[in-house]
Amino acid sequence: MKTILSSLQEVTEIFRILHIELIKLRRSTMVWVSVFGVGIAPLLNYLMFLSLKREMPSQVTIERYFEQGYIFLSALIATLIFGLITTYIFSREYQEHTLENMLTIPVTRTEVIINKMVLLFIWIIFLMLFTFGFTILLNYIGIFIDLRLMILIKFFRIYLLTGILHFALIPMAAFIALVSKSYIYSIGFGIVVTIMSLVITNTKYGEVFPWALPYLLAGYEGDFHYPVSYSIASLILTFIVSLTLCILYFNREDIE
Amino acid sequence: MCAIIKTKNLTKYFGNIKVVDKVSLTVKRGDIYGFLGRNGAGKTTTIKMLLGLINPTKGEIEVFGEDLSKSKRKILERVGYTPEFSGFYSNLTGAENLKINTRLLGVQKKDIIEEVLNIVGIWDERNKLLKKYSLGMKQRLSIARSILHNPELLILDEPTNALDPIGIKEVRRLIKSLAEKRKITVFISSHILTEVQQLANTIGIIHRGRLLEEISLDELRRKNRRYIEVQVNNDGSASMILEKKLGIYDYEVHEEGNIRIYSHHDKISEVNKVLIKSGIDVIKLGISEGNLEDYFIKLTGGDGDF
Ligand SMILES: Nc1ncnc2c1ncn2[C@@H]1O[C@H](COP(=O)(O)OP(=O)(O)O)[C@@H](O)[C@H]1O
Ligand SMILES: [Mg+2]
Repeated sequence: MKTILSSLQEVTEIFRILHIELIKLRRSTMVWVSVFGVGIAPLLNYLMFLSLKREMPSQVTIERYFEQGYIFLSALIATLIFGLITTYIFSREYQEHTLENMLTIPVTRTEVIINKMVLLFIWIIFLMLFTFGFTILLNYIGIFIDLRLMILIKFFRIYLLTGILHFALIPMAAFIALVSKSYIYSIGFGIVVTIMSLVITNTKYGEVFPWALPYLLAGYEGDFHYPVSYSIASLILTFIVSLTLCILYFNREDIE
Repeated sequence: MCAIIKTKNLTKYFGNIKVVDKVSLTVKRGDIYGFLGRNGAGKTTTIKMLLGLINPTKGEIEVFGEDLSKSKRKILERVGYTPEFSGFYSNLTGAENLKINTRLLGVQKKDIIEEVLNIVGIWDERNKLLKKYSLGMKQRLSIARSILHNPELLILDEPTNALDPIGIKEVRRLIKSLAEKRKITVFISSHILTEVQQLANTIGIIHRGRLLEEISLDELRRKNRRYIEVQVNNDGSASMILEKKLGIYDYEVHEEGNIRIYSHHDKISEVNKVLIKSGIDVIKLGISEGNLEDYFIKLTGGDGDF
């Protein structure tokens, strides 16, 4: 009974810190930047289908509409924007000199990492759902393809799954932000892995390249060269290794 | 024991540069401990080690009699800290920034934020965003934040830096009244001698990473008072004569044959006459100026100012 109570207490404690992480985002411009950033994908898609509808109306189906929007998001934008919010969440504490306070209140360093990760998970899922909703909304501004429930459900699941898979890549961006404490390196990293994914996705190596995997595992429907378990293992390994690196590094770091 | 902070051979290297060198300091309950040293002396590094923000290379730290590395969480719940560069979330208001702390610290007291903001005099600015705060306001907010949980120990890293003269005076008064009214033990760093003199009752002097001296202000003052210095052949009988014939009691035998008289500064020729008349050889006689500033400059090698 006692252990149940104390572990319950621990859980509520974790949520208390999570609540703090949410408060920190109040009036933050980064929230709007991230919404605008992911919004570019459905917007590009919308413009494309608007002209497609005029020139090749036969090509315009609801499946294509969702698929193309999804590819814009996952191939071009997601890694960059998710990397950006991750960097923001971690590097702002250094730039605003707030860690001295957080860590002496005291919140343990591991708690800081875990709570920021949970916050980022929520934020990513929110952005995925927003993008999905925005894609539907844009359809009703001048395109008007008939929605089919089956397709809606299919892509809703793809968007959710993609968000979850992208979350596995977050600790690596976090680690770079923790070490470099600046945006330049993590944005640079985001650009490099995005380009690498574009090149590599169509080869068999894409199947084990973590940054190509959210798309391949969630949205791609063709055959794999390797067993899918290789891909899943690669992603999980990336998550565990980089999260461990974050926790080890942050726990040893001198806060100056 | 009544030691609130006790370090033993605390040492920190950054790379292979030794920044803090075998510092063993003791802060007693109820002290206002002034940690005095020039810029770059190692004050901030030492303070951050006391709070577990920087890992010591060597040495031990005890706070409230407990090992910091083992009971960090428990210890920190009883400590308030005002960093050298006070950080806040710029997109939040002053009150919201403090709310982060009360939530995390589990402070139950209802009007605590109002209370502390009133103490530091910025209650009217509570709804301003932090990016609109001046440096002085941030410093006050930082002090307010550090007393939210009614700590027993307050650690302040150069809290008057970057304040204007009026602000400096007010913050000083604030710290003093916190120490007196709430019986908080205060550890305050500074590079300004006069500031420490006005606030502290114990001074630790750090220079190039080493703690040169740890001394109570009373003792320091005594050491540095203006005095008549008399060098005689027999300090025993000379002392008697001073007491019996001149009524001088505020003196000490500093070394063999060397007497320091802390009163009767205007009676120097009389002292001379009486001693000689009583058959004492007066070898040297003069007035010495005690001056803290000179003392510190001498202590730190005389190549700079505090
Ligand atoms: N990360 C670091 N690497 C190398 N030297 C450092 C680092 N941080 C501080 N120092 C040096 O350590 C010395 C002490 O710094 P600090 O503790 O901030 O002094 P103070 O607070 O007394 O001004 C300074 O000479 C400073 O340059
Ligand atoms: Mg300093």
